[in-house]
Parts: sequence; C-alpha cells; structure tokens
Amino acid sequence: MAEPNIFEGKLFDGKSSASIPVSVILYPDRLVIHSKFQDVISGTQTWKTSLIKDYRQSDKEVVQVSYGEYPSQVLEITSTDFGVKFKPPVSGFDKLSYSIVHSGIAVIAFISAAVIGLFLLLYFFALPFLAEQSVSLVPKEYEIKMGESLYENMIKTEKVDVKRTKVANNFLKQIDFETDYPLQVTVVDSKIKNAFALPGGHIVVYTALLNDMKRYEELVALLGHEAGHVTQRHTTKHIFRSMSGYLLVSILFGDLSGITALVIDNANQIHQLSYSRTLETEADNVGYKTMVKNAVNPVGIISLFENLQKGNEAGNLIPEFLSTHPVTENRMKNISEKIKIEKPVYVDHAFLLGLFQQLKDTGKTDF
Amino acid sequence: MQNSGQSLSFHGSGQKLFSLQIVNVLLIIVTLGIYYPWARASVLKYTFSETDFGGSRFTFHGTGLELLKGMILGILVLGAAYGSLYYLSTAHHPFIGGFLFFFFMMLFIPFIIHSSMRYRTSRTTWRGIHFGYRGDLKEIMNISVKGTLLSIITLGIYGAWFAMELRRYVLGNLRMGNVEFSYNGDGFKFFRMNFKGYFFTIITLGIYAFWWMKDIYNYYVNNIVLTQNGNEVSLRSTASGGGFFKLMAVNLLIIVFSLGLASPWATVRTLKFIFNHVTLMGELDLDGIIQTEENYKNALGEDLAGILDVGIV
Repeated sequence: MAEPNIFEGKLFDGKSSASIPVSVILYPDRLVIHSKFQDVISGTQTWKTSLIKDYRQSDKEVVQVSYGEYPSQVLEITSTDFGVKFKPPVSGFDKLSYSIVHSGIAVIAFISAAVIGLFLLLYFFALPFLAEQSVSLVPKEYEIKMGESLYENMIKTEKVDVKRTKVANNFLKQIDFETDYPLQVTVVDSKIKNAFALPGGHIVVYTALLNDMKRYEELVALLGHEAGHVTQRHTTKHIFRSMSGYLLVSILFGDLSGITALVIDNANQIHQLSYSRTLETEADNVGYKTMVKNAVNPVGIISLFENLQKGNEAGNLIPEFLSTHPVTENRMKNISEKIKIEKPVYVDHAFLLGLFQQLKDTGKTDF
Repeated sequence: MQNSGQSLSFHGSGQKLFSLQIVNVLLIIVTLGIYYPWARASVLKYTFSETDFGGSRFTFHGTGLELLKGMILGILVLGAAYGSLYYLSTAHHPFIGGFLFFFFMMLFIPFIIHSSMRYRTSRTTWRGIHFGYRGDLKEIMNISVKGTLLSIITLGIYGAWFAMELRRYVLGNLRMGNVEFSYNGDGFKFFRMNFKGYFFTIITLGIYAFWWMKDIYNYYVNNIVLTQNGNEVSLRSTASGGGFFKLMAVNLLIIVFSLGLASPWATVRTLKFIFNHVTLMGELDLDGIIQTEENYKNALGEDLAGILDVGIV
C-alpha cells in the first residue's frame, strides 16, 4: 500500500465557527483527522469517504468536506495536492458535470460548439415541428370558443358599422371558402387601413380599407386571405410557436442576467416576425385558391396590394396591415406568377358586384 | 466604529462559470429540461463557494432533487391559479376571476418569499454554521396585504414604505447562527431618495440612473446591522455611481457583442462589484459564532421564486 498523505487543515465542529487546526491523513477509503489542540486520543476521528455528505472545491484550491448528521462538521483544506488525490463520492449528474467542467479548455470549446449547434437545431427544426404537431391537437371547438371571447373583448371598444356588417356578411356567404369554420365579418368604423382575422372565424375589416377598394374582387381577395388565416389556424400556430420559443430560451438562459435575456428575447421576436411573414404568404395562397375555386378574377389580390401600398405612401395614417405585412413586393410577385402560369378561368359576378356597390354606397351615405 | 478589515469578497472566474453553464445547457437539452434544477443548484453551489467572508467560503448545500420538488409543486400551484383565472374569464366572470387571482397573488408572493428564505438560509453555511430565517408566514402575509392595499389607495406612494417594511421584516428574521441581522431603512427617506432619483434621471436624460442605483444599493447595505452577543456591527458600502456606470456599460458591451455567450463574465463582474464593495464597520467574533438553527426540510419556494422572479434581499 502507498504511503499515507498528510495535510494541514481547519476543522469546524458544527457547533461553533471556531476553527480547530488539524492534520489530516488521506487513505483511499477514509480520512483520519487529528486535532492539534486536544490530546491525540479524544481529538482523533475517522471519516469514511463513502459517507461524506458534501464536497466542494473552489478556484483557489480550497477543498471543503462536510461529514456527519446535522449539524455537519466541515473540514477545510487549502492544497492543490489534496484536491487531486482526494476522490470523494459524487453521484450522478454532479459527477458528470464535475468531470466535464474540469476536463480542460479543448473539451469545453468542443462542448460549446456542440451546445450552440444543438440549440440551433432545436430552435429552428425540432420546436417548429413540435409546435405544429401540438396545434393539431387543439380541438376546433376550443379554437372557436377562444376566438369568440377574444372577439367579444375586442369589439367592446370598437365602433361597429351595423349596416355594412350585414351587407358584408351577405357578400361573404356568396363565396365558397371550403371550410366548416363559422366565418363572420364585422365592419368597424376606423380611419386605420386594416383588416384581421381572429381564430375560429371572426374577420374584422376597417372602413378605411373598404372605402379605398375599387372593385369587388379586392374584397373577395381580402376575405379569402383572412379566411386563410382562420382555416390554417395561424393565430394558434403563432401562439404555440412564440410560446415554445420563449420557453426554450427562458429555460436555457433563465439563469442569466437581465440584459442577456433582453438580447435573446429580441432575437426570438425577430425570428417570430419572419415566421409571421411565412404565414402571410400561406394565407395569400389560400386566398388565391378561394378566388380560383369561386371563379373570381384573382387580379383582385394584386389591386388589393396596390390599394394597401397607396395607404402606405400617403403616410398620414399608420397602415397597420402593412406593418405586419411587409415585403409586399414579393407577395405580389408570388401571386402574379401564379396567375401567369395557371391562367385561371373566371367570370363576372353581378350579384357580388351589386353587394359591393351597396357596401360602398352605405359608406357614402354615412358621411 | 472602524473599518475592521472583515469583509466580503468574490473570487469566481468567468471562465469557470462559463464552463459550468455551457455544460448545464448541454445537460438540459440532452435530458429534455429535467436537469434544470440541478443546473440551478450547481450555479448556486459554485457562486457560494467562491464568496469569501473573513477568510472562509460560504457553502450551498441544496440539491437538484430538492429544487425539482419545489419546481413541480410551484408549477402545479401556479398552473391551478392561472387555470381558474382562465376558466372564470371564459365563463363570463372575468371580474371575479381577476379579483380572485389578484387576491391569491397578494398572499402567494409573501408565501414564496417566506418559503424560499426558509429553504435557502437553511441550506447555506459558513464554517459549518447554518443561516436561518425565523419569520412567521402569517405576519409577512399581513405586511403584504396591508402594503399592497395601501399602495393601491395611495397610487403607489406607499410602495416605498411597503418595501422598507418588508425588508425590515425579512432581514430582521435572518441570522447566521447567533449573529442576528436587522435592517433600519425608513420609508420616508427611501421615498425621498427615489423621488429625487426619478426626477434627476429624467432631467439628465438617464445619466443619473447609475447614481440612483448606487443610492438604492447603498441604502440597502448601509442599513443592515449585525448583532452578536450585544455587539452591533453595521455594514458599509463603498460603491459609487461611477462604479455602477462602468459595471453596467462594460457588461452591456460584453453581452451584446458576444450575443449573450460571454454573459458569465458579466455575471462574475457584477458579483465581484457587489461583494467587494461591502465592509464591516466594527468587528464580529468570527470564531465565536454558535450554531443555533434546527434542521429544515422543505424545498417549496426556492424555485417558485425563480419562476415568478421575486427578488429577495
């Protein structure tokens, strides 16, 4: 057997903070501690390595060992040599974490790269997939109910144009959206050029946008687009996506300081914004399909975009529709290419035109 | 009282903390999040073991398993509360739901402060001496309810008095063995300081914020008194507004330019700044601190505080 190693240390007996100078003999399975104050017999104790309660080693080679029932005794030894030779029983996760942390810069650098890679993989591939999957688990009835209560809360503070809402709903009913979501339009009196859809089927259109429409196809395009948001469950998807992104970020970076959280949170939001652009394009495509299916001239989409862009150039009102609908150029290009390639057949819809005129006229008499 | 040379200091290194946290992140991902409480425990253990007082380090004895239990309980309780709020809102009783939730939080936050103080102090030692918190749950709830309601009635003005009362209560029940803590902050002075800080910050376009921060920090530290066998020793902060400015500005640069990766270095800088600016005015008998606290077993609260982000002490 190898020669025993002897170290100097300080012992705290768990009763007071007085430090007792001790010498410690390190054996493979135990520590034998001799007090330098008391006589050798009563001042000697043996700590079995396997029964050690807690063990800590900090940067300046201070090793702390706790032993015994509450209140534990604590042994402090300041020695690099002891730190190297002493093999305390650390269990499970602690052992793994400890051995990795103390395995040198190359290993840490490799792990850092692996973690960053893994995080990116999770964030950009695994999470979106999981979020998408969980959305399909949300029952339709629940979505409709949620949308209904959102709608009720929101509409309280808005000025609903009852007459035009009625006409707009008649217009909506003429179009086949190929969905069993209970679609419903509400026309709200506002100077803001905007329209949006709530989950479950409510579509809200602001009068400023209606007033600037030149042809009924634009309204069909708008309703088709918003209905696309509803049927593709975009709000729910968006909520799931940003929530899961937020969850991942806050779990992984939760222990870090406020500024870090802010930086990462912003990055997350910017990423969510690009996701919402993807959803807009998807809704455009659904709207386009609806128009083709109902044999309405899909050029309405293009002129709707132009209408919205005009609002943007005027600049006196905030075109909210556009602020969440950026890169309009790309979206216009996407639709015009589809029209060019597919050359969809369309007819004139006198009844829709009539309703559209009625919608515009009702607006005029109001002013 | 003289500066005795007995002081706190932090010896951690950004590199060690980075290694620890990157390993934590890896294990959290690999275990699908289960490792989270162990990660938390490992960071607490590390930072405590690098904090020195009078030549000896602090030790955190809490375990990941204890924190996990607290976390699960916390998620269940909070989940139930949010669930019933949501249920009542959709069942057309948003007002009742909101009121009940507010009432619940008014009692729940002091409960979290109470239990996390109990837990964390019991798991913290210095030279084998356990810290302890002897506050009473009912009393801290009374303070919270009274403080919250008065703050609402006075449009937030009472908030300063509330904050000081809470601090007096929590610190007044804190001890390290037979060394008892107390806090002497006063609501009016705290209010005046914040009032001044608020306006000067606006007038100077935010520059004064660092000096305001320094005032608050110093007010927190300088009003702490330690009592051991009738011997009173108060703490003194040596932090300056310029020091806060340098700390925050450099931290911001470190974090932003590393996209958050180097934040352990920023954390270490902050801890060094906070601990290295505290000294004792007077002398404690560092060899004569006596173990006084019973063993305590309950982890609820420790991680609830993390979820709700309640800052303690």
